[in-house]
Amino acid sequence: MLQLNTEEQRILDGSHGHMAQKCMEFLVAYGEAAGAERLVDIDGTVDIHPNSVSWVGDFPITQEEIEELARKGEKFKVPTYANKPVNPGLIIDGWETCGTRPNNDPDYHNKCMQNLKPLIQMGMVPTLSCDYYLVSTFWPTQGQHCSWGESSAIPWCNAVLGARTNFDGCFQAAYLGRIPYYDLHVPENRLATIRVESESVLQSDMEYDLFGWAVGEFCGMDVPAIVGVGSPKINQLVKMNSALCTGGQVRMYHIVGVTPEAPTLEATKKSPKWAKQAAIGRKELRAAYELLNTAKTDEVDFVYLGCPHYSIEEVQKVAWLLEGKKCRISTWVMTNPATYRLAEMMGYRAMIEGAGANLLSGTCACELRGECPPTDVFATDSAKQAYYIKGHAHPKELGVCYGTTEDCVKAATTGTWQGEWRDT
Amino acid sequence: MAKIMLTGHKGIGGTAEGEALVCQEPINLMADTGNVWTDLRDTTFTNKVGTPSVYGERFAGKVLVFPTGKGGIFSTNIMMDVATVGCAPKAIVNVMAHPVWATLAIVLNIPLVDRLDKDPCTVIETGDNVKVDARRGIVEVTKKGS
Repeated sequence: MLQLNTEEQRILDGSHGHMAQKCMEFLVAYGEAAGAERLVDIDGTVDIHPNSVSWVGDFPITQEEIEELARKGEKFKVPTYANKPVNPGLIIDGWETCGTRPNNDPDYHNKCMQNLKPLIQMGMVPTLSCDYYLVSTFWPTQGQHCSWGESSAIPWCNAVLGARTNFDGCFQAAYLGRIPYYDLHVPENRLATIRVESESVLQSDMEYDLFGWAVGEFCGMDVPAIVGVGSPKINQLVKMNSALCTGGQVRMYHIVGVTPEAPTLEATKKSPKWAKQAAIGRKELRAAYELLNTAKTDEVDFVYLGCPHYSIEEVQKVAWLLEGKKCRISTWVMTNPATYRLAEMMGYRAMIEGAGANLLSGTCACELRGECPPTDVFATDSAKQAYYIKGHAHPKELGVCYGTTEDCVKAATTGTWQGEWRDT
Repeated sequence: MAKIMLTGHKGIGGTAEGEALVCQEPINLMADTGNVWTDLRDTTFTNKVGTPSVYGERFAGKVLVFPTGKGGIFSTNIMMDVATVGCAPKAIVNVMAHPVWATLAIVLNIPLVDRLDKDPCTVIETGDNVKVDARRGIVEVTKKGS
């Protein structure tokens, strides 16, 4: 049974106004459903998906209500960051030349941007990205309570930062600065129950992506302690997290000697014996690679890069690979709006566009529900996107080529897939 | 008529009865029901990579049986939209409920049970008649054709 403190009870009774009451009614219904015994003050951050700020049917928050709050000067209680706009996706930068409707329509673009303004007035930082955490300039610290929602971001908060979140980023959490205290907010639920060993030190970004997928399939809802992967780079952790939480449902993990709650293997253990153990090697990575590669022909007609949204280091890599070359097929390179600015300053936008590709920000092919250049064979370097886009092409049987960034750039400039792992 | 009982603990919501649709893979609505965007009333499993065991099937009005959920919060948004046109599942039976699906079940008032004494994805087959009593944590299965 959820217990409220005096102030929370007063909010529920309506003494802090109608909106606060409505938000508290939601937190109470959600907390009771989740089996939480109390709420916790958010001392970390919240992320919300603009245009869909509330994911709860009985407790909707309308655009008109948000505009009214913004007019009255109301602010979010806690640092709040914008994930990708959804319902539907929105291209923030590069829309003028994207070539697809409705995103290339100035009236559509301006209206969608206008809709974001009240949330920004209330304090939502317009990071507008699935990997807002890469550019937020403000991270929660270890042990802080957060309310995030994006699949690939959840393990970032829990595992990489050691902050604490469930899947519940929403307007109500940002407005009240509170969230039900259960599951991953509770220290003992963060401990590992299974042990996963990598048979070899992982090297490439794709290996981390495939490893994440394979571990996700093995783990179920368990928290794994991972050993033997080596020292992942930031890009590799981003890729691995997105695969862990879409190939499976890993919300929290430990990499011994790397993540903050795993100084030693012993420190991660929930009980003396592991419930399950696995060794993940080339065979499992290969199986994930085969699952994601569904194209029956090598003739690629669209290359999509940037899932999760590319960091500046990844944009740089693609810009340099494309420099002086020409793309033979439609090629989209997606990043977040902050990195887009850096890419412009560094000349990468010019390099990418000079090769005939598009540099864009703020969304992805599947968030756009297939609003992308016409395609029968789609190439990408992301396990998550390779999986998601398969569902969005229906009833068309879209072929997907999945491989390294280099494989994808080669496909962009030749129109032909020559995946590095294909015949190995 | 032979009945099979699965028992567990108190779940979410009340009771419901219907025909089972059994999916052997974890479900992520954002990826696995892509045509939700084009025709909400016809929401179909469209992803051969994610949920091949139910490819081409619809969950509207069924008792949806699957191991667990995966992916982010967006499954809740999608099911909310599907429910507004009356096409949500009648009940959900999981091996282990995912937090996103547990929340979705409560806010849409869909009975959900999990952590049963037998594996529901093995015992129940698509087309079986399934009665879910989430208050008591009981699932009663009548095999198809019996």
